[in-house]
Amino acid sequence: MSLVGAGRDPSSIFSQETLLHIFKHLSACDLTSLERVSRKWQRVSRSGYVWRMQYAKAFSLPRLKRTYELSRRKKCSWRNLFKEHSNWSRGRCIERVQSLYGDHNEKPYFVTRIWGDFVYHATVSGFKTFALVDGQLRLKTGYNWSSLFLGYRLPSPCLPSCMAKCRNLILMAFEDSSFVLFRLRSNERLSVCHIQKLPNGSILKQVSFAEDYIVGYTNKKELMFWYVRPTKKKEEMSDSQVLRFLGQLFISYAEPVAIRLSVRHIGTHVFAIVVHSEYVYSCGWCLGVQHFLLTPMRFNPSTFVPRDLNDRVYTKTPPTSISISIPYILASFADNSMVLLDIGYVERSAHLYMKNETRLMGQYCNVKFAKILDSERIVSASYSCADVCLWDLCSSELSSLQPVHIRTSPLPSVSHSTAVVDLGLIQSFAVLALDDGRFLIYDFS
Amino acid sequence: MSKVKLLSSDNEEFTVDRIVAEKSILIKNMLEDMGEMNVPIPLPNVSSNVLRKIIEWCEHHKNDLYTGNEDETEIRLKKSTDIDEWDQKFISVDQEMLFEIILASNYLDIKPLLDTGCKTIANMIRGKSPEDIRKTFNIPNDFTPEEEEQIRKENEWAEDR
Repeated sequence: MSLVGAGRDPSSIFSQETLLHIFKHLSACDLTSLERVSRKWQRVSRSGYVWRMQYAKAFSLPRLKRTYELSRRKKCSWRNLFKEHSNWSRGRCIERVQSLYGDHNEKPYFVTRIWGDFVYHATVSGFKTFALVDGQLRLKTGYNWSSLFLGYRLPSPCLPSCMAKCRNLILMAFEDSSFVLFRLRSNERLSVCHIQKLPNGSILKQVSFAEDYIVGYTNKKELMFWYVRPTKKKEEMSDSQVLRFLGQLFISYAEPVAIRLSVRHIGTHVFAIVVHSEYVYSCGWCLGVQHFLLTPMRFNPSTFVPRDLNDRVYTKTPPTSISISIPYILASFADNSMVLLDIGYVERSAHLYMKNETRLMGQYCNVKFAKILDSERIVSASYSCADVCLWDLCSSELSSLQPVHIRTSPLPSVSHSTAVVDLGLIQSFAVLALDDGRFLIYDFS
Repeated sequence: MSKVKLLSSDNEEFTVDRIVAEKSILIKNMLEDMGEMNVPIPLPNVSSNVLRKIIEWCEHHKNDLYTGNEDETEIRLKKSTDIDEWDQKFISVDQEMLFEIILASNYLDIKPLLDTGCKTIANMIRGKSPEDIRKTFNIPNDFTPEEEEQIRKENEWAEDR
């Protein structure tokens, strides 16, 4: 079959549909070659359809569906999604370190969280948000506590202990037992819409706020539940109307406590999921899961079906971090491993159960922090970030999953115990917030 | 077995088994609409030499079952380069005929043949440089060297996938 020289341009003969039918059989490398053939070929080979096919070939269909949901919200092209995700699974990225505080010897006190496309950073003096511009964190807005609390008593000490965000409400808890709900207005201004002090010196140490429910965990080992009434636009409510306290309960988890809270919509219900470390005598440490069915009037403990004790994965040390992204729960351990729990859900009886438990090995050092993201990807990091790994749950069978190491030497630091406090994906960047005010930013674009 | 008459664009008449003609969804639907009328079906978009070739393919594949809904899962499982041996021989024709077969199978709605044709073209493209692709199909380059270099640079990430 000699075809060279005799040809006609397929793009002038075939319909776009037929061209796409041809292109879907090609690899990503071929598709990018086509972009250089001619302008017409470039246009067709960049179409979302062929890149969605590339994505489906490289990853899985369920993943494609989830990514589709995310991409619709963020308006990413399938070509960029494929590029970013396949860079991720190969560990191809550019690292950048950015510090908010310069090279101070003294660790500033702050709480940092990453939600959506922004970094939220609360310090003793105020509260700042940062956006990622050209791969750099830039200050978006800054607020002073004294001006935010105008007309209210300032917490004392004014040390933020934890925070959470749901829609346009930001919950900020302080070490003096108080917590505040700020409403973020369209003009970026924050205003106090609820302020409250917990009794008996309880301080919120961790909080999850989603689907109009707040679940908090205090220094006195209490779990507290609130319902936040949705307010209509422009409607101003007095304090007592905003929050409804649903109740609290005392929990006695094994020390040292690693705990993670998450409020999630599953099926037709809203659940609060509490994952904590559990010590089983003569076996070791494993993960305990509790969940509560939330309704605007009350919270109900729901039965959680654990696995047979003999089938569980035990470790010698308690978890160093826990993260939740239903259907997965991930815990990191000081023995270079992580445990991934796969959670199932029975709609009829509204309960969760443990489907599978997999031990993920391959990290070189102790894992200090690990987070599972909505896209079935994991970032794990050790102390001083001496070993930062990427995992892609779609790349192979869970039991043989291997990480990609994107950093294998400690970050130069004044303190040897630098740890990651939160992690998020902002556009095509993975942003790791460290507890010394620095950020590790990985660019996958 | 009932017979069907097909009329090519250059007015040549072909008589084939109904089961063979019905490989084309277009003809199948037409036959259903026409009922028992035994008039030749005009195919104004297909010339006799192409129609002969298409009928040859339909004869060979008349007993195949085609599910029709090839979705993304199948694409994943099936290697896209796989073309069965008989089809490979069948499709070893010059480029002009290959294009005609693809156009005709698209018009006649014969999905498996369209697939085979598209895969064949994909195989002609696979692994080739843009320059080679342009040569293969006589495509004029409407990029400046700078533009082409710019696109190549932007696409370096894809070189190993």
